[in-house]
Amino acid sequence: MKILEVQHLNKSFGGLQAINDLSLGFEEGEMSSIIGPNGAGKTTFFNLLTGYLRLDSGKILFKNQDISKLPNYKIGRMGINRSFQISHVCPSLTVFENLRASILSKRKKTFKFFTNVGGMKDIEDEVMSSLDDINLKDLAGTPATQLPHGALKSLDIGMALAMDPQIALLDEPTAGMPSGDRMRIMDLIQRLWKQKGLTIVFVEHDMDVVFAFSQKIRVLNYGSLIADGTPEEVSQNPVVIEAYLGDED
Amino acid sequence: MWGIIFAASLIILSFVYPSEFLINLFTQILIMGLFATSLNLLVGYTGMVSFGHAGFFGVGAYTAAVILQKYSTSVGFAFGTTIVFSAIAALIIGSFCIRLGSIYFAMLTLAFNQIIYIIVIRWTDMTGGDQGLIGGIPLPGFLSTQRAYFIFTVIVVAASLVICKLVVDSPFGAILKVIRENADRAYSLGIRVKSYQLIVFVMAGIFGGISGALMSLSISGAYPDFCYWAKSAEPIFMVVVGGMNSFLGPLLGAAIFKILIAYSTMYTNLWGLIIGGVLVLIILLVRKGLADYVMEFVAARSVDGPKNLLSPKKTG
Repeated sequence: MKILEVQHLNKSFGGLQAINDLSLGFEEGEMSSIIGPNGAGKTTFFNLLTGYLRLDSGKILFKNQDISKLPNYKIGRMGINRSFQISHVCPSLTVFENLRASILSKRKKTFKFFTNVGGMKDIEDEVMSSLDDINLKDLAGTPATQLPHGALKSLDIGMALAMDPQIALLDEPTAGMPSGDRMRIMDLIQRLWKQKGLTIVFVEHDMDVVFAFSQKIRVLNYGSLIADGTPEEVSQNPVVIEAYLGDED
Repeated sequence: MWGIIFAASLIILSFVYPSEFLINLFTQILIMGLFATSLNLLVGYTGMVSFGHAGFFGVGAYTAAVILQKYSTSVGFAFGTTIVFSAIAALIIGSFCIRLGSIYFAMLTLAFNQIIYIIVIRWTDMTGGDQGLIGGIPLPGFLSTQRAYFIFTVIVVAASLVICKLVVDSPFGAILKVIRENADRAYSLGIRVKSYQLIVFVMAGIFGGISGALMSLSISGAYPDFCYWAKSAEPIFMVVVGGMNSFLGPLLGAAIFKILIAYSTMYTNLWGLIIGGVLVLIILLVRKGLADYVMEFVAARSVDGPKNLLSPKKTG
């Protein structure tokens, strides 16, 4: 079953057609990737799916319900959660406090005004176990600004995954990392994907990562879908090779 | 707990050392401390810099003063009405202001502050216009002495601060900090940022109003400069100097502000220069509020292992 599907999606910025009549869907339980040259519309696509941008025309269906007009926080509550290309965390809060935001929101505990949040043992336990999932337990008390780049990316991804998303959209989870760290963070995402039975879509530039971790690959170029298939199919697709892969190697 | 001890010791001190000058000074400090703390709910905890907080101080001051002077009701009723009116004003003003971010939010709060000021100036029948609401405010017997009013102030301020403290330490307060740090991210976690901003804006308005009411009753009159836009700079000074990342920072800032004024005006009428100088020195040399500086100094020196991880110090 397709958990998230878009039909004839269009979005332009001024004269630039960032997304051009795009139709595709994501299967439940799948770990897939979106690739494409810079400016292909990958991040715009994520922003449209999560309500951070409004589409010009088309439909976004989440479990067959049109969500294209919903505000971003409602989409977040429905279980479409994202991480960001440039890490989007709370810089002066600690790792623990950052992740706690996800847990409090997920558990709908945010409108409690007179309970001491430090005394909520169940929340604390859940935060610590989520931190354990992303190997950040030892850094719980560190302010996010003091984290090394890799840990910061893990935290950003962890905040999205701690929401127990129905579908997680990870925008360049390995951006700016040395290649050893890339594989490590992707291993971690893959482990959580299997363990929790998540549906994950990630945008990525590193082709080694893309081919190692995707069940399906979608290739965007100029806001349109130019290929959609398994890694083998995509790597042999002449259109893709010309538009994209050819320049890389 | 520490709040009760602190309040009790202040009250005892007023008996042990009954100086009218000091009792009056501490009354003013507590009132302005509550005013600054209420602003800090916005500035320090949520990252919303309001330049119009004096508006609520004025709404509170005039509401309580008018109610008591013209309708001679009970003090309790006057404070109840103050809370309701401040909340309504904050709800209306807040629902416009929170639509905008950063500097535009600040400018809009300033504009609404001026609207309140104009209403006060023009509505002469009710407010006394630019002369202020003079003629005294009748207070019941149990509040008629300066010390009695001081004790009343201690209790009201302590109770208000306890409520504020509970809220900032609650899950709601935790989300406020997340909004301060990264509102954009908060949305993706399913948090409707505007609701939280409006609620905290109304809270700040209510406690700003209560501090205004305490002030007008303490000096037995309400004056337009209570809600003149320049008055909004005072709690900002207190928050910056005292420290916006420590709960009691603004209260400390209020103490510094009021003590500086009280003593410098004895020697010179250039007290504005002294206040300005202190602000410049603290910003340039300490680079954070004094309370924040002390808290970080203490935190850096305490080593009690992993427990520290869960009650971390704040930075910056």
